[in-house]
Amino acid sequence: MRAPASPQLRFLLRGSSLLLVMLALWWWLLLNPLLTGIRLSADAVLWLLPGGRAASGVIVQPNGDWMLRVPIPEFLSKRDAVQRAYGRAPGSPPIKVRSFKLTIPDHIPTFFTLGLPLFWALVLAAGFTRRLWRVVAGGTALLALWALLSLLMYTAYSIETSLKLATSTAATLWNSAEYLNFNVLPYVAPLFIALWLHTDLRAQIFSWNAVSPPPAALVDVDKRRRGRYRGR
Amino acid sequence: MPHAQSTADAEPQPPSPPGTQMRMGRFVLLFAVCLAVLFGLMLAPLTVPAVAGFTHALVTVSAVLIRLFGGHAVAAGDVLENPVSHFAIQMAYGCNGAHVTILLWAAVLAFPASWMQKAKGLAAGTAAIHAVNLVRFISLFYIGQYNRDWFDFAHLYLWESLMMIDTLAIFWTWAYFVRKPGSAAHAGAR
Repeated sequence: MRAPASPQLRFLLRGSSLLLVMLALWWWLLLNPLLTGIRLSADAVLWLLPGGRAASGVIVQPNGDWMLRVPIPEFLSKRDAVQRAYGRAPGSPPIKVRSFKLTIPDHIPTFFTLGLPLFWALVLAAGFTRRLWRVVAGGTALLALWALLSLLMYTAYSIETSLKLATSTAATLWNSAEYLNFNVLPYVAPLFIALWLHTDLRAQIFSWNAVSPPPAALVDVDKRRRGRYRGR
Repeated sequence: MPHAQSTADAEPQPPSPPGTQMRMGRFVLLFAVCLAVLFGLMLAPLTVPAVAGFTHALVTVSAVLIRLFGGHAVAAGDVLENPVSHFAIQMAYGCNGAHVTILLWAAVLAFPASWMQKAKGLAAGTAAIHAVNLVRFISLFYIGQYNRDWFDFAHLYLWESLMMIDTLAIFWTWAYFVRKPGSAAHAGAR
């Protein structure tokens, strides 16, 4: 079977097929190690937060859901909204709030790692170059970090909506940021990172000058040259 | 000799034509501005009814297409239901192809081309994206009736990622035609 002549169609077909392969690889082989890595990294970040040494951690529950124990800094824990959320009665002494326990369904951290198979499919579909493995390694590292940051952002948003700490304007901006974090960036980030790191793919799409003449014309020129120098 | 080795491994990069980096920088800047404006518009309360109306229209078209091919489906707002099995799926805010449409629009608007060519790219690209999105929505309607786990996988992971690859291919195709020698857009590209 002949490969399609159009580089765009070839990329589309290759990319779609590779996506199926990469999703299968991700789902059955790589997801558990990736989730373990993100869980340990999130655990470390929470431990580093103020008050994290006393109360922090990420625990996987028997049903697979994640329970994050997020330390609440003292200046936040004294705020009225937090005190009310923890059931402090008016006039009674303040409650000491050390952490917030947030349970998130297991598909949330899984979803934040989706960028990896999409990125792998995009860069492999763009064609093999000598720098490909460096591109794959760099993009994988960036997207793993991205998954961790997205999870932390989701956690912060969930805690904020539970405790209602933001003003109405800040809440609007916060909602928009979380909408992008959860609905847009997991799909868009791999595309941007692939275009940034894979210089050949970027050059093919964004070659600002006119598209070069078809290869057939180049072959003709070569043939004429060979003929001209035959007698040498 | 590690130094010699690393030099040998380095792929020779062809020198960039003059102005390439400036053009890329201009594209990235314009793209980011267009993206911010378009996402801002999509999330603004003013445009919510228009986006909802568009979503309802997509669900209605899906129901008509399914019935045209002998299937059973009725549309009720943003919900598509099988009247026989009573299985129903909702086209949520992010499932109407708006995100990838915005991405394509931002890229087309930021790319150096004539306004006519940009208008053609926006129209044809949007039509192509929504044609794929209709296939996606109808396929999810059938997959959901067959297996719930497969539906979740196809909905969350497979189709959304495929839509991104499609969008990139659509933009690339448009950019290729815009840059073709002799095209009106190439002659008039700013």
